[in-house]
Amino acid sequence: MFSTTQRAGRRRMGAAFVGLSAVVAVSLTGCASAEQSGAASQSAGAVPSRLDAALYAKAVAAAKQIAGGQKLDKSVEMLGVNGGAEGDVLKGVYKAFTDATGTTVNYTGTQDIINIVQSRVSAGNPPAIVDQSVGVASQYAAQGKLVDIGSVVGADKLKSTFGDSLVNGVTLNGKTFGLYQGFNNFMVWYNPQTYQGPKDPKSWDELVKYTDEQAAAGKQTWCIAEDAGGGSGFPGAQFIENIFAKKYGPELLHQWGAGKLSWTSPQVKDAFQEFGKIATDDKKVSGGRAGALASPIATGYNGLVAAKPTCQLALWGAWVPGLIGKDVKPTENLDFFRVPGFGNGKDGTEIFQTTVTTAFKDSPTTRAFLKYVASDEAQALLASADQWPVADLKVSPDTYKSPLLKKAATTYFAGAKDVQLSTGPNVMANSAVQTAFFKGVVSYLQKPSSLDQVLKDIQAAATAQ
Amino acid sequence: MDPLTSVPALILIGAVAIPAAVYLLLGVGESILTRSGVQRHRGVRPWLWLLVPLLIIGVILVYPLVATVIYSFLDARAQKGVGGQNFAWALGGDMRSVIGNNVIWLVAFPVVTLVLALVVAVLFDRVRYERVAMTLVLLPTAISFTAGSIIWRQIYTYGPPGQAQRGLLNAVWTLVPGNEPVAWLQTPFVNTLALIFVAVWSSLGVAALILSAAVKNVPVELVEAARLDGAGEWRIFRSITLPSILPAVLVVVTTEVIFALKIFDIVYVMTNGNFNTNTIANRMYYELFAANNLGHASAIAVILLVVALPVVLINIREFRAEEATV
Repeated sequence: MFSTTQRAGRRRMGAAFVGLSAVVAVSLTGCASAEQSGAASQSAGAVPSRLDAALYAKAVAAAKQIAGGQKLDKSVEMLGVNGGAEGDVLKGVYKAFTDATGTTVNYTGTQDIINIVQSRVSAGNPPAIVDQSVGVASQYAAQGKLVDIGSVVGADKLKSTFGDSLVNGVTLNGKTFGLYQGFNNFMVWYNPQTYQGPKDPKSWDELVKYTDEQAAAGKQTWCIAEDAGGGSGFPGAQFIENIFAKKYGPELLHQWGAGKLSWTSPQVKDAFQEFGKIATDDKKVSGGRAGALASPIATGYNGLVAAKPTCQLALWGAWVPGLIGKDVKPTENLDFFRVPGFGNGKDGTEIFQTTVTTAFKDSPTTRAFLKYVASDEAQALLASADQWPVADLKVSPDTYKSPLLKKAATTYFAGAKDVQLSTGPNVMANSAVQTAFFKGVVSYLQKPSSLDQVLKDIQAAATAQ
Repeated sequence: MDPLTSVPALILIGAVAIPAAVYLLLGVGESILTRSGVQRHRGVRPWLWLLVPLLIIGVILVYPLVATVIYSFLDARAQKGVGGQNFAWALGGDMRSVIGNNVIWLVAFPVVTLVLALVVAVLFDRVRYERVAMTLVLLPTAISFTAGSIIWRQIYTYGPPGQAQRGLLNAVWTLVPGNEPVAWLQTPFVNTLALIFVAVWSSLGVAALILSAAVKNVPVELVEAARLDGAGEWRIFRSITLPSILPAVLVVVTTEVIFALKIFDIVYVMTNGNFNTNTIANRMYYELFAANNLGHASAIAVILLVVALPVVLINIREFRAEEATV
């Protein structure tokens, strides 16, 4: 069909095309490599902002000792939930590992982590390391997909670092599947300049009584913000779990989290209703129910310290000062007390919110990184950022610059008495139940009379798993 | 080195290896054909050149389609058959309110987009600054639906009465004395309309462009003759313009109906299906990735396909008819 001349011409064009593609591809490759190595070399050795320089040097030395001269991979991929400023703090801590070993930790923070990890695991290409919730991680651990961190770091080292109860919380069938980094407890935040109620209440009823008095005087007491995009409702879920923990204790809380206590049980319903006594009453919550549902979590608690405060109390995690930001004057316009109990001997139960660092791929590089993350030096370095408390029992409260984080560390960790840490569904449940729980809180706030149906729907999601 | 995470390796594969492999395949095929008879050339050559595209379509379109249909008859883990249970679930219970939301989208979104696009197309055709005006209408099309959703989520932000309004809409709304801020994304039904508005804002440009091209093809002599006969502008539009541009109108309507059927990103970003805004595609996403229920998710996908297919066929037919008249 084609003449010899035409075929020769087509061959020349084809060769030219291939040659051009090769030149373009090699050029792009060179540019990509140069960009990647350039990025690494530009910041090598520099101490990231917010981290303590002396602790940074110690973390680098610890990472070098852990690597022990091994030749590790050029990079390791890590996914987590923290982005923005929080993600930068973590990247800063991991940079010490990079400076020591030459392995770049490619950390990406995303709110959609559950779905991304699930799709990649299904595709047979999971990320090497993932920071994820305990409940979701335990699903993968049950399938045998996670590295046994106990065999990497050492069971004794884990227990001496985090304590028995925390290690047991991330151990399944004798294998530990996660490590703790940032670790947050819950407390009742208040503004000492505006709050006139009990500063060390002995029972939850004291707070309820104060709230009722304020409502009668036309003042809304609580800041509650539930808008968190895809995770809307999770602050309310944590509020409910706190009440449950204080009223029904750690064992029942754990059963609830493990799916052994039904969502339609009287205890769970009671916890929702205790939360509803405050959250569904427009006179008690800043902005009413609509305000609670519509207020974004990033700014919804600013009313505590605003020039014209819009609320006096907020029950949430240790990250509240970090979220409010520069308007916080620790202990002057923001302070906290422990969530009071119900006077039934279970007041010491404290829930916590954390993600755990897990590994899908077992290699010398991931092993070295896990050992680094578990080291006291890396944990102290993270603490020095003043973003979150850390779970390492050996990190002194003096490591934190913020008086509020120092107080949190003293109250809940180092040498704390009468603190029994436990977890519930917010941390332990799988992705379907967590999602149903958060959506259930939103539905309950929208229509309090629908509580029974809400609980049935969550139970249905739990049963379907 | 893992090629899937190495940028240089991916560039080499995409920019060199794949084009080289395709070229090699076609080159080898052509030389085989050249050596065989002329008759075989004519019959076989088209299929040789279509081989790679058909393979790609088979892998990324046909195989997932067949697999999804099979999964829709299996349980959550795709391990045992459950008959039509997944379809019964997808059409009953709390899915009814989800389907109801999609019905609102199916009615409101195409109608509003069409009406506004017609207004833009007909009126802008008569002004000298048509290009500038059309550019302004087209600008939102350059923004992805996700980015547009984030922008409008900020605009719709609600602050309790008496507090500073961070959302532009409530900030303007409360400038009027007596107006209280509105929880645009939290108030049922209002929030669905608010989401539909975002979709209209994003889609109006393309719809207006299609209709504008069609309006310009309306025979001028017909319009002039109608004016000479004393017809008013509305009569001209109704009796001459609209019938002439009907194929383009159908293209726009069917395109928007397909979009309304599979609406996902706007709802996901702005409300995640909360406050009674959930749609079928969002529910499918939840069933697959949060609930890990392959059976339910596949059933929803099959229902969407069955409902969308006739609309797609009409869309293609009208689009071809529209192209033929240009």
